[in-house]
Amino acid sequence: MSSFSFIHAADLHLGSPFQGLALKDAAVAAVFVEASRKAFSTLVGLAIEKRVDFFVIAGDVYDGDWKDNKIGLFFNREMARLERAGIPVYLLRGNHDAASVITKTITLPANVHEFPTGKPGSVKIDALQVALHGQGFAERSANDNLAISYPAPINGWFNIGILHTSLTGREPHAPYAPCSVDDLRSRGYDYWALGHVHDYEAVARDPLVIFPGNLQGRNIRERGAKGAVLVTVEDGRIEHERLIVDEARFAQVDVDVGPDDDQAAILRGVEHAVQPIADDMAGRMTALRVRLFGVTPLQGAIAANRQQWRDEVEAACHRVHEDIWLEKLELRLEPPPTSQMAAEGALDLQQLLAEHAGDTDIAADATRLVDEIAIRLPGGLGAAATPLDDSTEALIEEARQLLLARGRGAV
Amino acid sequence: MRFDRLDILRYGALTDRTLDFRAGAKLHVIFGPNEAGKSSALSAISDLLFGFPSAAEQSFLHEPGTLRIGADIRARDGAKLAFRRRRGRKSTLLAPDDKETPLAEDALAPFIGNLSRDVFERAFGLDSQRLRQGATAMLRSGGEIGSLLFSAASGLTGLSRLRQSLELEADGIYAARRSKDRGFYQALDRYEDARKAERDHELKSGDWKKLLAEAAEIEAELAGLQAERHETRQALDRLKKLKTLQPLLAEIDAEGMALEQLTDLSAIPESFADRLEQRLRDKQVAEEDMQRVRHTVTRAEDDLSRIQVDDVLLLISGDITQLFADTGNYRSQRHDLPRVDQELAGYDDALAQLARRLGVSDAAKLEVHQPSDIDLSRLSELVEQGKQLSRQLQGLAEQAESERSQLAALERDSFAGRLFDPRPYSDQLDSLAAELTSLARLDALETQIRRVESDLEEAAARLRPPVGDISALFAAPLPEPAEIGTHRETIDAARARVRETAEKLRTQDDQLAEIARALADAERAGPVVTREQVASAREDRDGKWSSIQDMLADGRPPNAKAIAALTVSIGDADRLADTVLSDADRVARHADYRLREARLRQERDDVSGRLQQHEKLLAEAEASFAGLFEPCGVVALDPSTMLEWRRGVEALLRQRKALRDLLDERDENALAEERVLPALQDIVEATGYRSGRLPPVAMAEGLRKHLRIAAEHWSESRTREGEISSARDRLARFDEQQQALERRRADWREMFSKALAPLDLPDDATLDMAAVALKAWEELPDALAERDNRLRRVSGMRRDMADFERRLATLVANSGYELEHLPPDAAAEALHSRANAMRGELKKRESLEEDRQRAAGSLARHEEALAAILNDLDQLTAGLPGSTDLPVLLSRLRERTRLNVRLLESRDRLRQQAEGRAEDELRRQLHDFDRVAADLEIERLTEEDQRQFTRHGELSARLAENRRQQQTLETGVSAEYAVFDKLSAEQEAKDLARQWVVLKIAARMLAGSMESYREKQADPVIKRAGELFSQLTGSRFLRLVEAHDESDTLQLLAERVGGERVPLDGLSEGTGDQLYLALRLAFLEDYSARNEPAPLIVDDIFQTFDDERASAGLKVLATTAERFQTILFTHEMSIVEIAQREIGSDLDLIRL
Repeated sequence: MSSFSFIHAADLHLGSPFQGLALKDAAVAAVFVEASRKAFSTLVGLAIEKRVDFFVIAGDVYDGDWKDNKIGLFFNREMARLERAGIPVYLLRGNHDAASVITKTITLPANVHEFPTGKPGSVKIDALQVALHGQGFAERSANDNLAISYPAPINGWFNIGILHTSLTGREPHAPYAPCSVDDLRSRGYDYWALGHVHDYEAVARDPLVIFPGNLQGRNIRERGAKGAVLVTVEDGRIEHERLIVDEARFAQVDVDVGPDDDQAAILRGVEHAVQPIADDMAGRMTALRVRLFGVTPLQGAIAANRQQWRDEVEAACHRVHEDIWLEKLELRLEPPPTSQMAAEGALDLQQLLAEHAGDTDIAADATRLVDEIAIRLPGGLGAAATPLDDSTEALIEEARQLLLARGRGAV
Repeated sequence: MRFDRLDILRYGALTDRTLDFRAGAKLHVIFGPNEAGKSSALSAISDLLFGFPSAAEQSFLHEPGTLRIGADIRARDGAKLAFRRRRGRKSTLLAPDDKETPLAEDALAPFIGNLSRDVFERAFGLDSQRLRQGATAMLRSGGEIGSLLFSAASGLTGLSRLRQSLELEADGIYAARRSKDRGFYQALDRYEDARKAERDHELKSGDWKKLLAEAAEIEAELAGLQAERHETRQALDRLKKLKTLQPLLAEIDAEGMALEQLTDLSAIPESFADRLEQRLRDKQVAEEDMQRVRHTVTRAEDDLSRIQVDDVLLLISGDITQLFADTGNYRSQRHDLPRVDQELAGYDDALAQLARRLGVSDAAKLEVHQPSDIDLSRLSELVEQGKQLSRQLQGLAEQAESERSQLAALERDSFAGRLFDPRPYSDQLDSLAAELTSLARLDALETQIRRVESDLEEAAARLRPPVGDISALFAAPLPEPAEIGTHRETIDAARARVRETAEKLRTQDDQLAEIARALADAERAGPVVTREQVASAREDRDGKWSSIQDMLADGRPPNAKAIAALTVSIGDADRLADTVLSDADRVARHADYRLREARLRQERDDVSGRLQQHEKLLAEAEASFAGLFEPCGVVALDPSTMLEWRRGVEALLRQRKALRDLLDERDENALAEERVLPALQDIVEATGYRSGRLPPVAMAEGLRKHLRIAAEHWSESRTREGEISSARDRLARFDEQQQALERRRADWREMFSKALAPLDLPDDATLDMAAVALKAWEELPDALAERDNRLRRVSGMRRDMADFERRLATLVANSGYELEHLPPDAAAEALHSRANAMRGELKKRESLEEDRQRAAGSLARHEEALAAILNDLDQLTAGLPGSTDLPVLLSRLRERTRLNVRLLESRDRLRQQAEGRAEDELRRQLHDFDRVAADLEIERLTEEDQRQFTRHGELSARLAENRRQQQTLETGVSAEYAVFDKLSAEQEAKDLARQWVVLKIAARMLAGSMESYREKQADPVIKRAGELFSQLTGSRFLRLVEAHDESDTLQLLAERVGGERVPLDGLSEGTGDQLYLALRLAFLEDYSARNEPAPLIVDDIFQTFDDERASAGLKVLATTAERFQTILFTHEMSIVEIAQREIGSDLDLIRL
């Protein structure tokens, strides 16, 4: 058996916007906007540099039907680069770019081979004695077990199965083209190049079954290093290694806040928690979610000055590394328990508010206020069940904390 | 909870200080002057109850770890606790003994409940600053009860402001009205912009396909064009080539024909021509050379025969040259001789003159009479002495004369009249300076007074209303601004009521008009049938029926008229009833309008009555206001103007005060004149100053000048006397000197007469005579020497000239030339030039002879060479026919060679240009080639080529532009940026919306809580606060009442004894403080009734209270004793004294 190498990528999701980022700094925003494309360009550059023999993409090249033709043209350009380097590409359609979903076409260069969607197809590379088998999605949801219909392997050749699937289920990914590892094994192939799941996972060793993950994280759920897999076959022995190509990253840290911590201590805690991320990010811009947990008497003050704390925490991130930007500050803090001794006509604003809060009215008021502004929200956000992400109870509690904090300032 | 005892063991500046609080006392007053540790004691109470703050305060004297405070406290239910507090994080409550066993952390809970330090200090701590803050916030709030009570309860001030600030902040983010300043709308705008950008930046697939199609089309057209162009170029090349080759072939043909003419030379080889040509040329050259040499020989022989030489002259030519050399000398002597002769004669004349001057008869005797140098020298010296003496005498005389005339002038210029020393009078005048200054200011003061007076009058006239008589104004009582202010408020309030009522009246009128319109509308559809009308028709019908019934009953048949009338009546009644039924709705509405109209009319009458009442009140208020200004003699305008007017009058008062000061100063200065005048008169008389009748200030100024001139005269007269006396001294000295000089001149005259004798001068000779003689004798030796010199030169020159002329005569005779007619020098010159010419001829003859011999030799050599050449030529042409003309032969041979070469060249060019085509083929192609037709075809093809070229350029440019557009579209700004921005704006809008909702909820929550608190607690607390307020104000106010204001908000008013209700913003600051204190105390009493109370710590709140109010305040504090313990800190002894007086034995005074 001959020796060769190839790259296995999946889930490019070209044209997918970044969710939940409100970055005001244009330069930083630009990095995120261009990250998906740059990551793919980098991967193509690596393929050419490493002189791989072919390139496999296991579905979801596009995030959906594109309105902007530049996305298709971009992919075409990158394919043309591979063609000039003499590297053939084998790809199939996933749920995001299923045949019925993508209505636009760009004629791709001759080196690109797409597997059919109606039934499985096979391609043979005679010079390497490699056979590739695959079937793309015709519709967005493919509920059939596609794997079991794949053709029998060619004896003495290196057989590769390519499939866009969630196997027996991978939360939170939708369950498409369901099958088990045994189903895959039953085909007798040497390598299964899977797509759909966005986290890297080597599902099985014999045969080697791999999800390479997506090339670039796009929201806070897609954290950590992202990229593709380089597979090397030498006289039948298979080795694989990850090629990390992402341009920017998402990360999340939890910071515990103690009852005695003052502002400086909390920010020190943030810096301490962020340090490992900075050590790990290898020069990549990082959007970080910080979650503050714990019991602190500062809870009210922090809630009342959310924006100022957001800025402080972002400044703390920047002190650790200039390229760490705060994606969101999540407050999960609680105030210290107070000795609840009933006092009538109490002196404390907190108790006064508690005693004299016309609860039902406030809840109704709050719902009305949310409704009033929700219909003005852009992009159909107002139609969500909780348009402001939090229940009215949570908003009322935040208002109460705000009032207490400001009330102290009113002495 | 009450304190029985407070032990400040180690705290701040205090050590082991115990404060015992007497049980049963109604008020504890802790008195300590400043720096006694009052503030330490105050903060010790907080630290004791709630622990030390983490910052190491109060440890400047004691180590932080050793700080201790202890106390004995008692709860309302009688439970007691004695404990200590130390600084630290844990176990800070200790038993009050030496072991200091830690107590449970919550040991204090039963005594202080859930109070925090913050709440304790806010609600149970009251100092003057907090009191002032609370009162200010309360007065500003406008008396809104919810907020007041809430503030008093929480001890928090500014809650209304907090609510407003929350609302304002929310409004800054979002409000229903769209505004660029609101953050939410900015985010929406960003969203819209991004959405638009997304559309703009999208690359549409249609655009892209169009571009690609266009590119393909252009490329196809380009390919076709290339092929056409190739064909055109080929045809063009062929024609051009033929056109070039045709003349070349014609040339070849012509050369062939010319060669045929020379076939007779075919036997003679090509190389013969060169050899023949060489020989013929050699022959020609040799013949020409021989001719030239022959000519040279003949010319040399001719020249020689023409030359002749004189040998005699050549022999003596050496002497001639010598003579010629001396010619210059001879010529110069002949020129100089007359001049030197003349000089000699001049010197002889000079000697003759000298002899005459010295009185010697013959010049030749002069040498004999010459005197010795000694005699000359002595006389010369004496002449000098004599001259000097004369000069000295003359100088002295001039000086004496000048001195004398100067003295005369001095004596003539001496002053006439009286001179005196003015010093004492100046001193007297100076002493009057101060008084004079005062007098001088009088005029300025007068002017200033006049200006201030007119300013004052103008200012008064400018006031609105103007004041005519200022004095009358100031004589009358003026209303105070505060009073005007009060009137203004009253009038404004009255006007507001009138306006409001009038507005209401107008509204009602509008409503009435509206109803009238509705009624008219209802009636327009036809008359409205009323119930009364129906009833009346029925009655009429029933009446007619009953009369018919009566008739029937009477047995009379009803007459037709009655029946007809009944029928009509029944018809009417039915019709009306039907109309009511079918028109029920309209009728009901109509009736309803009527009802409303009646009700509104009544309301309107009420309102109209109220309006009249309000107008009356307004008129009364305005009249009362106008009455204020009657005594001032002005008619009052509106209150604001009158406030301005009042301020203007205040300014007038200040101006009038300034005027009075000026008048006083003027009167004072006028008195000075009487004092000054007599003194000035005395000085005038004593100094003789003619003053006339000047005013004192001018007189003093005149006197000052007069005295200054007198002082100058006085000092000048002193100087002149000294000068006259010294001039007289100098004159005497000059006389003495003159006499001495005259004596010296007599001595000199004697010596001078003796010295004259040796020079043969008479004894009485004058100085000038002696000087002339001396000069003549001195000139004599030089004149004698010059005359001898000239004599010697003349004889030498005559001798040399004679010698030259003799030599010349000899040479002329020898040469045989006739030169006697020439002067000697010209003759010598002529002789010399002839000898020179003869030497030149000789040299020329020798040179010519040499040339002739050289030419003869050359001629012989040329003749030999020509013979050899002729011989060679004969041998070369031996094979040719005898009659051959050699030059013609040579020329034909050369022509043949040239034609052969040209033919070769032509063939070669043809080969190169034919590009491989053979000559024969070309000749075939050119067989019927028409040059003119070819030119036309070429022209056509060239144009075609040009057109194709241009088209090609156009297409290429279009293709390039298409590629550029493709590139731009493919790599331009991606819509992804806009999508990112869009999502980012969405997120921001969501964040802002959330902030807005939270702020709004917070504001409502606060408002709701305040209102809820008011509803639950207001009545008893307000009532109690009213009682306390009455006590605090010494019963000037009776109670507090609640009333709804115009916006229907419940408000607090203070009721005066006379029943007048004052809104809070009408209270003075002091009264405001009292009201706030009353509210706080009332709330604390209310709280204490239900909870374990903390002690009230009051710190010097009476600083700004006068004694009466302080006394009331202290009494009120004492009344709260049953509900909670009150501890008052003060540093003022007066407060202690008032407390002792007012509270007596119930006071517990503790000195710090």
